Amino acid sequence: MRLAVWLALGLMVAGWAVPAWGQPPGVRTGEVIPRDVREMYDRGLQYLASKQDENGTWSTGGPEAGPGGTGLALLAFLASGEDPNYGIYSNVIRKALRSIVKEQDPTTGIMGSSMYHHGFGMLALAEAYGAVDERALWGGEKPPRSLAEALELAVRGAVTSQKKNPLGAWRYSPDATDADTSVSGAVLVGLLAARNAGIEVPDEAIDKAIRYYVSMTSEGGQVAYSGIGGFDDSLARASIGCLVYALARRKDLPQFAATTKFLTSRLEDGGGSAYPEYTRYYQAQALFQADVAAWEKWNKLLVRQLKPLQQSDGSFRGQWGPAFNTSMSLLALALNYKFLPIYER
Amino acid sequence: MRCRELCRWAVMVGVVGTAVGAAGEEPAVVRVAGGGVCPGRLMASDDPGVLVWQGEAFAGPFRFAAGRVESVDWRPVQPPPRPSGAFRIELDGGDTLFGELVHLDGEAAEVDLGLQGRLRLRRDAIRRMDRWGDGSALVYLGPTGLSGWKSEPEGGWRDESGRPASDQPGSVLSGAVGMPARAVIDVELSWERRGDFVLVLGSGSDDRATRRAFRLEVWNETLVVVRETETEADLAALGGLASGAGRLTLRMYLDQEAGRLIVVAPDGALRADLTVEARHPVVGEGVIVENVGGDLRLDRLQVMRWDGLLPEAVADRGRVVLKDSAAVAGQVERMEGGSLVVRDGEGRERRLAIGEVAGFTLEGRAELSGAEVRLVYQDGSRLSGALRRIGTETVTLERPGVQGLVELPRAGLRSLVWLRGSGGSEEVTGQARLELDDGTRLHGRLVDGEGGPGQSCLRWHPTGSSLAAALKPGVAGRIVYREPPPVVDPPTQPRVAIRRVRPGAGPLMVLDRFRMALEASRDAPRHPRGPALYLRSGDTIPCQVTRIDEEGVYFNSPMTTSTFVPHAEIKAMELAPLQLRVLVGKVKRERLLTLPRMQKDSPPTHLIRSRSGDYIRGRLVGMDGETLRVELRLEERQIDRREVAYVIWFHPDELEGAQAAPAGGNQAPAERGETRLQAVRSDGTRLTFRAERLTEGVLKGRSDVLGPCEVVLSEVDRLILGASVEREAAELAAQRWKLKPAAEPRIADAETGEGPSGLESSLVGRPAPDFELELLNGGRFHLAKEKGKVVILDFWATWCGPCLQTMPQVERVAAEFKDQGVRLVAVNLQESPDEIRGMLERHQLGPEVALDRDGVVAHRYGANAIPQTVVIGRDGVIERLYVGAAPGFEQALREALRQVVSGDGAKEEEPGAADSRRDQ
Repeated sequence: MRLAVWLALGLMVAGWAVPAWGQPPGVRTGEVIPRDVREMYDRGLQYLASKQDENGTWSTGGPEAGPGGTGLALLAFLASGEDPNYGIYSNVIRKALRSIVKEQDPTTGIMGSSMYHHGFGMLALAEAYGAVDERALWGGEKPPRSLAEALELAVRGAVTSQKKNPLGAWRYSPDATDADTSVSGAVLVGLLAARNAGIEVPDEAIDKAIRYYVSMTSEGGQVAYSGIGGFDDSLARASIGCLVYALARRKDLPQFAATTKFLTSRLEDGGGSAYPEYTRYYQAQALFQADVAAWEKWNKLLVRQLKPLQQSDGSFRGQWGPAFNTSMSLLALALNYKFLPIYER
Repeated sequence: MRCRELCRWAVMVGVVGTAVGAAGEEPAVVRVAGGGVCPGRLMASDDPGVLVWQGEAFAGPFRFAAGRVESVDWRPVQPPPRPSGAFRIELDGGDTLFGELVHLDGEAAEVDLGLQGRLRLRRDAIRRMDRWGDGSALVYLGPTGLSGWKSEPEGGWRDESGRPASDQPGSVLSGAVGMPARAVIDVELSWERRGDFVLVLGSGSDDRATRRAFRLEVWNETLVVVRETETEADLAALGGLASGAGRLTLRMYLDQEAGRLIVVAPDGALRADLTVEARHPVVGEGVIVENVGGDLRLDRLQVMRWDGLLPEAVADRGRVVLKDSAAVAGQVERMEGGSLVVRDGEGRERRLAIGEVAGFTLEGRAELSGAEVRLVYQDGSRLSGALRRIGTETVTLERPGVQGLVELPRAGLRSLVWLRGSGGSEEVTGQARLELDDGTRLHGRLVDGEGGPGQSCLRWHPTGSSLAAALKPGVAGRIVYREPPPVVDPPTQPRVAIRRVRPGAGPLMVLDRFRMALEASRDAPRHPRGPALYLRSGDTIPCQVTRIDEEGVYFNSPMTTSTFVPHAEIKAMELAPLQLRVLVGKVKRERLLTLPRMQKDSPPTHLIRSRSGDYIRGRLVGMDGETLRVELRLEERQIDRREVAYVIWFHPDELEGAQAAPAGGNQAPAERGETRLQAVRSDGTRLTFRAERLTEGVLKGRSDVLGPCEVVLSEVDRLILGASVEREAAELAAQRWKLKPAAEPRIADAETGEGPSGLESSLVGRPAPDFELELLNGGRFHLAKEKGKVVILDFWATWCGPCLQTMPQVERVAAEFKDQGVRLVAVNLQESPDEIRGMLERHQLGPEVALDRDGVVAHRYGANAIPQTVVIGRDGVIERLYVGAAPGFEQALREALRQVVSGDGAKEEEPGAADSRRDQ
């Protein structure tokens, strides 16, 4: 009966295949998750579960604490295939989700202190929407708004911010007149996830943002950060570019081909970048979307690189706070489960 | 008076109570025949025929036969203590004491030696007494290590328990000891193998003065003293130096003003009296010791001011010299009421107040018979005799001229030297040699033993000792049974190499390859024939590898019952011989071992070499009887096992800057009396294990990797002990195949807040190369016509992101100085005008663009990386050159222009740098 409810709900809101909760995750794709990936992932989740604050957030240090950080941790739980409503982490998931909704500005719809938070928070809301049973979400508490309302509000906040922006993209402040491809990636992926979840996102918003990315992508597939020129070998940004083209169903663009080529020819450069966790997070999704065979190769390397970084408590070593590093690292691995709707190809 | 005689020449030992307590415990070094050295402590012994020695590295004492001991040397103290007493007393046999004359009569003298107590000496044991004013005559006493000395080359001389020593031919040791114009010099030199040296007395500050100083040199094993000035030259032979270990003790009287050197043997015999005058006498203050072609140790050097009183060897006996240098001929009879009573040739008595006497001679003979040992104190005093007993705080001698026994304190001793020629070195040939990190070098053999608390199972029985002693656990060093064979340089023996390309005899080829790479290897180990595993510990296991999986390597070996080694322990695996011998040059080797920046985070873990000589780098995933599975660029490939010659493992902790490998937890065995060692067998195999017992020539123990194991000592070339295992392993050829990260590009440090200086390029300070180029908007630009203006050349291209970042900055700064005669020309590299225009429009930039269509101008300005911004001064000289878009560039350029515009250019700012550039 439960299953039926979810199937109905899922079909109703999005039209994408709703996972058969409760079954071993591997069943879904017919592949077995490698044992070391499963072990690493489980230990990472256990760590995150143990470090969640009572208010649902993770504050293990670093500026990353906030709806974005909460959202990424929440995504890590959702991505593993654990039942969000009845599984062992259902409470963790509910607490995190409540925290994100509560952090949302009821007027502007903006979540958190920067558009990074807003983007990742929106992505988490979109992925949770339809998967989490809202009847059990708030307990006795009065919900400020439903997940659908929160997501719609978040989309509106992002689109409003974009409209104010002459470049048609985003930067840290919702009122910025400047843009960069890193913040914009967080927001745009959030918007695309919301659209996948059935929330109305104006085509114009997506098109404008993609135009911005096209302007920032070189013929060689490099994606610049901000301003003019400045193409470098950032794998993180090339991955963001590649990912947004794919998620926006714009694989027809030459920029998609260029970024794909850029990435697939640099599979081994991995964590050499300045932001290894961030890079791996996007590289995983971009490669998976653009070239599954390349992703499979790269994924082996990823497992190899992450293994020694995991600490005895299950957290991952990295340049951010341990919770954020752990969320990011788990989400890089999460493509092995192919579970989140945003990972649909 | 009589009562003193009743003391029957007894010695009155007034040992000073202070500072004596732990004297016997002072660390020292014993030297035994055949080059044996052992740091430790001299223990008490009532048997003068036995020296009981507690070596630092040993759990128990040795008992060396005294006949085999050469010396015990304590560390010199710094600064050396000055002896007390008014007189320097020279005895027969070269002994020297310092003290006060307390009593003198027809038969004996009593002297107060201060620290060493009072001594009553027969008159005929004393040769002379000279007032030396409590050491005021002492100019130098040493050496104490290398302090105050300069070694050339650096490290050519080392500090050997306080004595400078060298076994590097051509090593020069020089010290400014403050040699006075007239000096008495006591010198002691010794050597283990061959004495071949030069000793320069009174060396000067320049070569010329040093060349003209008196020199002792060894010519064809003959010691000569020689001097050559601009006008004359002379030399005298002092005697032959036998080959082998030796010791030279000389006293020299040097008068640099008169050009005279008198050389006297320890027994007082005259060896040479050489006068070679110089036209302009120069007083050199230094001493130089050069180890020409043997080995040498400077044991002692004492320089005293010489009052000019000639040594008896060259002067008549029976004289008293007064403080005013007046000499009184006659025999000193006795001391009476503070005066010396002297009887002259005519039999008249003369009384000379002792305070006025500078020195006098007595009847002491030159030679001294019956002396076996000599005690040398830190203060320079020395006394010889027959050794009777070594106590914990005293040494007892019997000395002619002193009735009864002389008991001297051990406190303050510097050396205890056995005087008869060293013998018994022939006995050590064929013996094993123990060499420890603490300097121990002892010939001998291992005897049966078992590990226990505080002692290892390695019990060493040195040649010449009646006792064996167990090594303390954890001691590092080696035991050498057979010297490794000399290194054969493979390229000189091509025939041998070709002959070795037989099936089944090939592995040597690979190892020769390793050996090739081992440029500075000290020893070339023999290697086992056949497939083998090489562990990181240096172990070599001849074996057949059956398979490899992600855990490690599985094998069968006749050497061990173990069949598995994890990857982390492995350095190399040899499967089959190379088909062709192809040498790896240095460049190729470097390339093979360079880790590209792109692969920094997923470095290759293996280097695989095919039998035909090709290399690939990748990740060895597995192997079975047929194939190797290798991941190359994240893709798995299969390689026929029969094609593979060998595989080298790269480990992450080997990379430069990586954290050191974990110690491996070898601390515990030391407590259990186990010693970790590596046996290097004569077949070239190496086995590392914790030795537990030695029984009947078989050493048994346990390997961390291979489990229980044993080696037969008769098959062993060397045992490497303790921490030396890792050190030696690091020297092995296979171990030196390590990845090295490629150089990182230099990025200006954004955190310093300082912009680039623009002065680093060698072009700065040089005239700007002239050129003429077409301009984008028509017309031409000719640099030579810009004299009097400041020109900025900005080399760029549309494809260069950083150029587009810097160009607006350059444009901005140039605009600020527009009114001060500054012209900006953006020199575009090899692009079409359309491309350029498009880019400038998109980015709303408007500099004057010159078209360097063939890139010649960029080449002239060395612009092999762009953006490059060049500032040329009004005189046509390059003032600044910036490469790249460094943080702080704009401000730096602005400041530079301000200086250049005001004529305050690079040359004024950095005169040295700019001028030297201009001189090039």
